[in-house]
Amino acid sequence: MQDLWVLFLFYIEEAAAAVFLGLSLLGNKPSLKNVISIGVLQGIIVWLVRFLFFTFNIPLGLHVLLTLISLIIIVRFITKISWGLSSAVGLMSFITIIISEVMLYPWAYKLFGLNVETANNSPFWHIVTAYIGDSLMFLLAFVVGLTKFSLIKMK
Amino acid sequence: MNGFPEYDKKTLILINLILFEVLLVLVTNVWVSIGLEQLWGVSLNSLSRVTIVISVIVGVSSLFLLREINRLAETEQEAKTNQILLDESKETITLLRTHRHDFMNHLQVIIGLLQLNKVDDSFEYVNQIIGDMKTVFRESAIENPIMAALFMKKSSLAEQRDVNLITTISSQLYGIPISFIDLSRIVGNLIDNAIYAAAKDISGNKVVEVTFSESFDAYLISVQNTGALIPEELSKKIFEKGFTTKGSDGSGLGLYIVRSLVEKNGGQIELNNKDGTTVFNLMFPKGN
Repeated sequence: MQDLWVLFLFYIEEAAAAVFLGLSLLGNKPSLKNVISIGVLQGIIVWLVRFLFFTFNIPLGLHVLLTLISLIIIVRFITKISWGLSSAVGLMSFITIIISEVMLYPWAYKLFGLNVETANNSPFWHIVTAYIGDSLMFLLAFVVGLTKFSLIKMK
Repeated sequence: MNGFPEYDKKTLILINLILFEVLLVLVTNVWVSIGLEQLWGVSLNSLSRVTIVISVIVGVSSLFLLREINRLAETEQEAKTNQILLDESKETITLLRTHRHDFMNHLQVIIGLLQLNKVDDSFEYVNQIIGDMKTVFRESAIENPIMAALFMKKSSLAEQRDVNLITTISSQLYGIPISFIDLSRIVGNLIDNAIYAAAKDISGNKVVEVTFSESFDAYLISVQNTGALIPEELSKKIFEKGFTTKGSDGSGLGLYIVRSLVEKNGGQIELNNKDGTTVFNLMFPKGN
């Protein structure tokens, strides 16, 4: 069962940081209002999707595709950019999340002697391992925000 | 575009493909490693991390490559613009040489008249030259070299078509929110049309007047001609692609390009009929 604490303390923050990175790395200067709005909406959808997957015992995996599509739609309508750009922002955001998680989640589970199921069943451990798993992404968002770095700068 | 750099469609598709490829590699990698570990107890963690690093490097390199390609495209565009400027300069030099040649001829005529002791005739001749030179002096009132070259060429065209091109420069338009290259394309197109319309006027009063001015909040340009008036119902249609009043002489692209350039640079263009003349008014707001 997905606890609401996870939504408020992690999903929203994760989505906001990821979309900030996605927008910034593609050369945009995102406004705080847009980042927060997207973070809240995407956080809620991630929470709902995971809630449904857990409720109906659907193995996680497909949730990546659903939440990616939802992020693309949300970015499109909040920032009023084209579908092509919002899709690039969505992909970029997910890439940063997955890179960070792939690198750090196994290490976090090993550190606390947990596995995916036990960590997800406890809101506390879910939030702790998720923050450790995404710490690389959060760090990247911080650095990009500070240096205004972007992968593509086009006129 | 909402703070984003301008991406054309192809670039956007390429970016999406690169990002999708990276995401696909990452997700597949994660699923494969997890799946194999769960099924056969084989951990591919070390291998998957290597491939993840490789795929990320490939993805990031592709994006940097894309940036480099874009930079080269920009350089090429700059080179094309410079080529246009160079061609314009060459035309201006040719025009100046013609003027110089004419001037030498004038001097020889004056010397000839003076040698024949025809002082009154030489005075009259000099006065005629002064009248002709006024056009050149008016052009030199424009400080921007691109616009000055444009007016010089258009004066020559007007002269060939027996049209009097008058320029009134109350402002040099410094700070106007459009490049002078784009502005010269706009004004050049409007002057060409105005000269074409005025030249067809059979009443004999063939005048084209170009005015540069500014108010406290806008830069203003007007191009006025004494040719046949454009009916009011066509005042919007003439800016549409493919529409022309010149028949087989026109392509229907001139005013369409003019409007596109004006709007792209945040300006406005409108057509008015004033005192029996056709006037195109351009307005670019200040502080854009």
